[in-house]
Amino acid sequence: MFAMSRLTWRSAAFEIAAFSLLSGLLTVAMIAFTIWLRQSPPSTACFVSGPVGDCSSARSFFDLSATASKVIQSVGLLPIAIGGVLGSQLFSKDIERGSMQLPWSLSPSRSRWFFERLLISGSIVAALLTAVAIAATALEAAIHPNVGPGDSLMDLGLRGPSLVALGIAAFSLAAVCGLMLGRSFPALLAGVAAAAIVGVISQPLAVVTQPSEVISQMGRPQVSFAIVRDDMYQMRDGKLLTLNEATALVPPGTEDPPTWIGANLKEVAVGVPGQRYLVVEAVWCAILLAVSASSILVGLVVVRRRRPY
Amino acid sequence: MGSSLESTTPALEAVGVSKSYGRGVQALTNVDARIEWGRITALVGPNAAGKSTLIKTWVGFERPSAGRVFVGGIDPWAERGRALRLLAYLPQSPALFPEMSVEEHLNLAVHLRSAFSKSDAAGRLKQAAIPMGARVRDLSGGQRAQVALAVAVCSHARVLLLDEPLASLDPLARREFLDVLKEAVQTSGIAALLSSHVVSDIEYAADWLIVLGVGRKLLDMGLSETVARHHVVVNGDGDERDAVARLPGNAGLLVRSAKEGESIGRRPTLEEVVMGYLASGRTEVYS
Repeated sequence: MFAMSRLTWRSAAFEIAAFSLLSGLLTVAMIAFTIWLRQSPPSTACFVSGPVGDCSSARSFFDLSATASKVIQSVGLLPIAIGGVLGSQLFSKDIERGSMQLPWSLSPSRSRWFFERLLISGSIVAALLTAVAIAATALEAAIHPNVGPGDSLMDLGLRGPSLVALGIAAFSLAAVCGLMLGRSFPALLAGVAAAAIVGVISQPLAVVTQPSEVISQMGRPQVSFAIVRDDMYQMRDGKLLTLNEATALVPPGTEDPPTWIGANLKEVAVGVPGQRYLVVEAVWCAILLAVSASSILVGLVVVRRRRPY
Repeated sequence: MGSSLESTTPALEAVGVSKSYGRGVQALTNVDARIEWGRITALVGPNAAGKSTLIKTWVGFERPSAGRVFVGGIDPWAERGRALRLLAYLPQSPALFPEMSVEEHLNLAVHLRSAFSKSDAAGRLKQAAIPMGARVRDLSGGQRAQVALAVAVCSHARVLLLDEPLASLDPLARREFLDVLKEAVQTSGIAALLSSHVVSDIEYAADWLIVLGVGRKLLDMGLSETVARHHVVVNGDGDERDAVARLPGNAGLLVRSAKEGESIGRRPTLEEVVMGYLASGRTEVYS
């Protein structure tokens, strides 16, 4: 395995070093922001009122947290970049220049070669993104100290296990594109495009599997960061109505229907509450891992049949 | 590979092998060939004759469009792992990883093929004055060929498939390699298929000659028999129906004898026989 690790390093030394540096810098920056923000967290009331009045001393916290949020946002493209670049050239480079003939004529098992190379490079992708994901989760907790990161859907996909899972999915897709196309640059384009599409589709898919709940009543602060799907009207018995259904309840001859609705029904926001973060993460990771597993299965079929050049 | 199997099964066999690519390119047409154990078989043919394609079908890199190939009786497309354990392959351009050092290649070969002897390979490369720590991209073409040769030869395979391995070697390195190959074949009874254009190398090392021309097998004969069964006739003395081809430079007609020992013209050199068949492979006149 040491020989295979050396091959991985030698083949993609620049890319691995560059992404290690980038991930390292992001991780260090997020840890630094986390430490600064934890030194003087404002009270829960200040999060509602903002940096005014008694909370004016919290201005530096809010300024810092705004910058820290931008750092977290910058993590967004990292899984697709790391996974796409390292995955796309994993096999295509060796096919393109004919080097693949050596291992595929020496090794009795192409599948073993395939899995070993995937495992080593995939571990690098996972390790780099895990560090970033942990640091981003800690920073998220520091930015919103009144809401635990496990009770908030804020920055979903920019922290936690889904960040790593998206990187692994991008890596697997790009690796299979490289194996099929046998050329590095087309494989990079195809791999990144496929990973971006999977990333864009899979997150809403994970959220849509969750049932809608009443998140908050209009005019009252939202305690946890939820994903709002709709504004609805709630009857006293808890039944939820759309605007059309609510309008249908207005007695005939009422002069001002909106006033009647406001007086008799509660206007509420409906969606997925932040407390379902862990479930959403788990579903999303499962979708991404299924994509990865499917890609690897396709790759296994291709690796057994294709020419090494 | 047990000796009982070697006594009954050829090292390499092609049965009615045809290979076509897209756009009507026919690389091989119904080729039958048997490569026996304990021999160095030379595979000769003009450019695009299908030599590399035939070799690649045995490695399992190309799938025949028709017919079957066997390595020690094993179909590489049905049981690739078993077939590959028997053979080592050296492609036309050394298939190496440019960023890796020579030593890293040997370590990789150990990882991929348990029978590979790193010490043997290191010894060969030391003899060729190739630094183990050097990266392959920094080596000359000849040195790269030496590294690839060392990896192939020291994998202790029972069948060596060598696709023009000598082209980039200097004369001394070529002769040394051929000596190693001859010794390995004689002492271990392995089989080697050597694709080459250099007739002097073939004459020095090979026992058997197969000539391919535009995808068809033109000649399949022992080396000494090849010379004995052909003659060169000048000025139209021979029967042109048995002629293989007109030799280049108006040197006469190469004619294949109907029976052994028959002599019409002068005895050809091996080079003339090869030239004649290469010329016949380019034209349909005498085929």
